[in-house]
Amino acid sequence: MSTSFKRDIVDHWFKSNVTVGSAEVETYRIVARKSGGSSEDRPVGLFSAIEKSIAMLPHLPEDDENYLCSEAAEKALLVLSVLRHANVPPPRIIPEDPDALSFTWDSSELKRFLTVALDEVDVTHVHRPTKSRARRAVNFGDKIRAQDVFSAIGAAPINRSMSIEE
Amino acid sequence: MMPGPSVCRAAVHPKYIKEEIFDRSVLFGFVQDKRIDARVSSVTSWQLSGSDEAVHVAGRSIAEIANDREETNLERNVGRDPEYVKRVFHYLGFYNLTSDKVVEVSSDYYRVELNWRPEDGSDAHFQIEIFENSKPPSKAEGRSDRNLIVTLLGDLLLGPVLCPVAADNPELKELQEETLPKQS
Repeated sequence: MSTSFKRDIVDHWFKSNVTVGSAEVETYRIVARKSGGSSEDRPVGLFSAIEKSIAMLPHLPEDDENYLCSEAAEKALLVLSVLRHANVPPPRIIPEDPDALSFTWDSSELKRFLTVALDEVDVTHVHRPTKSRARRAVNFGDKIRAQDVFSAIGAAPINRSMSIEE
Repeated sequence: MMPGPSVCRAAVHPKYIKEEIFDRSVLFGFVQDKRIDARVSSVTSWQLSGSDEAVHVAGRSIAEIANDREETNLERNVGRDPEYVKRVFHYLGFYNLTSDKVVEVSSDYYRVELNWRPEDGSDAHFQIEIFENSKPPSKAEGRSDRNLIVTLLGDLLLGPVLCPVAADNPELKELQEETLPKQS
């Protein structure tokens, strides 16, 4: 039996120390890999395929584990359209609940979830070596602003470290 | 009966749609089981099955059941969603998980159990079950905590062990290649 998956090293994670509440935790800034040609690169064209997949989810039967209600799909598509303009590789998706979908970016140590639910948007970092996680709610209010999405995932502007102060 | 050293999770297309698009944890397809108040994912004991081929037989029957259910649902829902396209389920292969490692997974609010749940005449059927240990302070916090659980479980997946494909079925071979995350 083989030991593990091929890790997706499609991006580089840059560490920075930030404060979440009173606890100092490690977090990372994600920057798209510059060099091309590797089979592990995630081509930008995947954004369109992801969009199609999300748009399909509300058409699944409601008892399917991947069903997503159409309002949540609309909101996820709006966030995806912002991600297209962020300096991040195409994410993967997980339909979480009928009213929530997560975008994920994975590296060897860290996995990041940007979860878009009907009532809330938040970012969760899962840190594999310590088997721990940290969540930060993103206040989008009534309207999704590109800048909020960028700052939530630390993607823009490119040279500024991610700030996740409460 | 104690769970054997490893359990197998079937990969059935299109449930686990495309590797490049869906996160590998989607493979588990956790669903709420109201009877035991847990989120569950069906797996098969490799040891009780006895061979890769026996696990493949169980996997093929999962796809058959899904296709039958699709037929029934389609008859019931006909005309309700004009954009719905009938799905055809194909069994592609399975992933192994070491049982001892599965039950080690836990988080602030959840624990993972691996329980023997024989069903449909299969003695080898188990479930990975995520139980709430204590009530998360909010829905979002619970979801975030489960993200940790599914990440750790996803990291335990070994494989895939692809099911043998007949030479006259290149489409299935293509699905196996395009769909499943590969081992290193």
